[in-house]
Amino acid sequence: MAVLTSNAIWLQRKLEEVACYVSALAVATMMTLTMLEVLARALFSKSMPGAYEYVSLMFVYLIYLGLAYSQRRDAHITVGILYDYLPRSVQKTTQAIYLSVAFLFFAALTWTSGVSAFSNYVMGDTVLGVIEVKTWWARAGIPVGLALFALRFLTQLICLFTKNELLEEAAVNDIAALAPVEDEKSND
Amino acid sequence: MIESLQIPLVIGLVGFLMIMRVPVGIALLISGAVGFALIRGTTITLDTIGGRLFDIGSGYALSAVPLFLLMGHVAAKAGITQDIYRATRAWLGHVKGSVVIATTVAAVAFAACSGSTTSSTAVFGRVAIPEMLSLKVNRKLAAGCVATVGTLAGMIPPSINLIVYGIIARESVPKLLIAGVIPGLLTALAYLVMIYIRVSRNPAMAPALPKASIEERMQSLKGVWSFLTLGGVVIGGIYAGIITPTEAGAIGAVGAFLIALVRKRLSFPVLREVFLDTAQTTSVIFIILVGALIFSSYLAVSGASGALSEFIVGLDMSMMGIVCLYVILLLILGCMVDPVSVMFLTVPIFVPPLIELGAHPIWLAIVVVKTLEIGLITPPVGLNAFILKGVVPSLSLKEIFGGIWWFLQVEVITLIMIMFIPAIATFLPELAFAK
Amino acid sequence: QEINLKYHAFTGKGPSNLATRWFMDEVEKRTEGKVKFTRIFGGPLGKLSGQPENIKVGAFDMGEFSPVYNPGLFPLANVTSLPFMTGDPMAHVQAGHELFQTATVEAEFTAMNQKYLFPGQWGSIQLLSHEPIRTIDDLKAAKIRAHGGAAEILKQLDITVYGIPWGELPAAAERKVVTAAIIGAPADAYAFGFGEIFSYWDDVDWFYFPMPVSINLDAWNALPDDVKAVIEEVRDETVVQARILLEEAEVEADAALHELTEVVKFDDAEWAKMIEARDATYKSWADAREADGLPGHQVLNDFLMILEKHEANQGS
Ligand code: NA
Ligand code: NA
Repeated sequence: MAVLTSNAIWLQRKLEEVACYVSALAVATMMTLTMLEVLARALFSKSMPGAYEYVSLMFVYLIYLGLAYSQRRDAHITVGILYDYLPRSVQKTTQAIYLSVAFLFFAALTWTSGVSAFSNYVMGDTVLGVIEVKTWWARAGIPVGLALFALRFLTQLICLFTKNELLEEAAVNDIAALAPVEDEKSND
Repeated sequence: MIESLQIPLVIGLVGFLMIMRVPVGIALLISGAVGFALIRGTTITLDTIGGRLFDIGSGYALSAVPLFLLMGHVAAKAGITQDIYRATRAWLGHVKGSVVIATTVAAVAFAACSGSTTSSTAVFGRVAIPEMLSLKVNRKLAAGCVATVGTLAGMIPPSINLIVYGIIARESVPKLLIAGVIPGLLTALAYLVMIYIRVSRNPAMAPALPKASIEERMQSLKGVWSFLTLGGVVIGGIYAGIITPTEAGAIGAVGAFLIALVRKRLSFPVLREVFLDTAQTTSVIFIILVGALIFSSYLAVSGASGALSEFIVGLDMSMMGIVCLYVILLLILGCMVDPVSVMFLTVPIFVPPLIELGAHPIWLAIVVVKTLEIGLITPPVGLNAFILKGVVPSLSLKEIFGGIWWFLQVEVITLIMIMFIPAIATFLPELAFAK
Repeated sequence: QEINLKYHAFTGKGPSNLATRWFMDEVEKRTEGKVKFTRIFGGPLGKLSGQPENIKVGAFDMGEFSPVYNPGLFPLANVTSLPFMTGDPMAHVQAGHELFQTATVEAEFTAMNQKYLFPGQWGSIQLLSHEPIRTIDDLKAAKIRAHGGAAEILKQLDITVYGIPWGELPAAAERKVVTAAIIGAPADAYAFGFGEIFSYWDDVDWFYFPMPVSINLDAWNALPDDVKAVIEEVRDETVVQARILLEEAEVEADAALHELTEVVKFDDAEWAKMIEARDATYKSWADAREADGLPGHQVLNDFLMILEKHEANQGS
């Protein structure tokens, strides 16, 4: 059981990181496509059919695929001016409610965005453009990102009870565990 | 539930979730969904949001944002900050106020490569604060300077806030970006004057350095000219209308990579690093945008947006009077919530009636973005102060906000100047886009 | 008791919802206050391309969309956006109204859980340019921004089409990144300042931009019969109304655009070549639908026949 759990946690972490790499790859692709479009126009007075559509659609990955990883790292922008002054026991209760609601909410959205992506795949939705570009592959990124996001809330909820760790404390530990990488990061 | 009671309750829910440390984007998303469900039912709400996540998340103009973020990340990795800093110190170190003035000028140069206020602040915090402290600059002045000059990146193009404003208000993004040039430079100039006066009165606040030799100065330029050229090409390309802002972002990012490559500052880990950072930052910024859009969907369906807009038009006040009201509202919201969500919540309500009343669209955009930049440095939540605290933990928040106070006064003066002299904002775009 | 229907416009109050506002006023009047529309303008619930799905799930009850923006969801309804179909916009809008109620095309609406109501804005799309365009070679020399039927025929002529988004078009046109553009004219072209940017105008309708209005099917089915009857009555009247209201709104724009630009046209020989290319475009459009297993040729022929009938009616 313990092995199974640690494997599942390892897998979840890996999947979150892979999702981030996919979205990083999307940035690189957007940059390259747009650059080629500019070059084609400047050098040959040609337009690359579809460049604009692919760049627009790829943006979806950037928003949704990085959510879970950012949540794990507690990188989302928070205010918390009341929370910070509350006793720990109240913080724990608040966070338990928030994490449960967020898990259920994003699990439901995983389902509905998945249904939406699938029905647009079946119906063959395309965007207006010079060539017909299908939208389902971009839409499919949304349920994937949201599923990881929902799972991360669930994991944080479990940690809150089993390890008595608030999510911001878990994030500090998580980042500390990867300290060598982080040192390099702090140069920027 | 009585509809008139429902709206304040849902708005109250957002506020409550936020002060309880629920991330801003998620607080807006959940509250918006709750409100929408009260009107249209749970199933329709979840189906609607499930579909709209795509609608919101795909767009060409939005794509400029990650590309400009990438350009800034690469520039920082390639050592641009240190180089600009070294050069401005060599050229300006002997002036009264020396390193503080040099830091401000360096921030202007970096602002032309970076679209994000917060990342600019983080970068300068790491480089400039240790430098200034080792030179015995007054701690408050150093902290206030770095926390504030970061906001220049949000006004001098490329600016993410101006791009987002253009998308919400359906204004021409290139025009807005060009419009940011003069207000950004004016703000920087006002900082310089304030620093000069303050240090003249009390020279101990920022000791001057010995004058650098001509060789040192020439040497220092080697590191910066390439990036300044790149920033110039990007802004010039948009100004001349040869390229769209998204294309400018791609050119800027590719150019930054090439410069980093030539300088042998590019390795595979660095490459991975900058792309991952960009992806991360984009998702953190844009989940707020998603939440704010869902929340404003609720406000629209509930009829609250329409009622508010009508109320504003019916106020029987002059355009300038309403702008002043709007600015005060932005200042209040801006010192608690981040600029992107404040824009999403208020621009659709205030901007159309104001334009109907004769406000110049470009001028209004600059006033809004400038006001929100001020919000980034005002307590209690002044995001920039916290970012600085994050990268330089030895500074106390009291020191940071204490130093910010001097700059805040300058900010308010420049805001008033922009409000009453619209040409500051409109002159350049009108010149660039006249037939 | 009062029935509340939520209407969402993807833009502010403007030409694109002129007809729909007339329709809503009439329905409210004729049902004597039994039906009340909540009118949401400015697109807070989504973009034009998001309208069909929003109506499908019931985010709001009614709204306009364009098959041109969702060609995958409305492949057959898009026959209405093919190039150079007629010079008679009234005949074209009436033919569109009839076509959208034929079983084959209506099925596309039903599949999206909606009932087609009436044509909203059905604007003319025309060509504006920096240099006069009188021949196909002139077209080839220009850098053209286009969509819909215009993009189809330009592709047929092997001419590069620039996919510049609407929001960036004014800046791109001013700086001659594109030297010609297919735009809604005269209304949009004038309203967005293209008359000042471009010097020449080919005021021939390249195609009509179809923008049907539909209602969520569940919302429709839940309406009582007397309300349905009123809506059925008003929707048919809206067809003619829509065109009249738009033309009234366009009088000023038309005069102003004539003032600002010089009208140029293809000469007869070049025009014949365009018509030849147009026929090839129709064929390749229908073939592409057939390749997807859809009755492209049948729908094309049906529509051309309906159109001919309405042209004859208009003429008489
Ligand atoms: Na900037
Ligand atoms: Na703030």
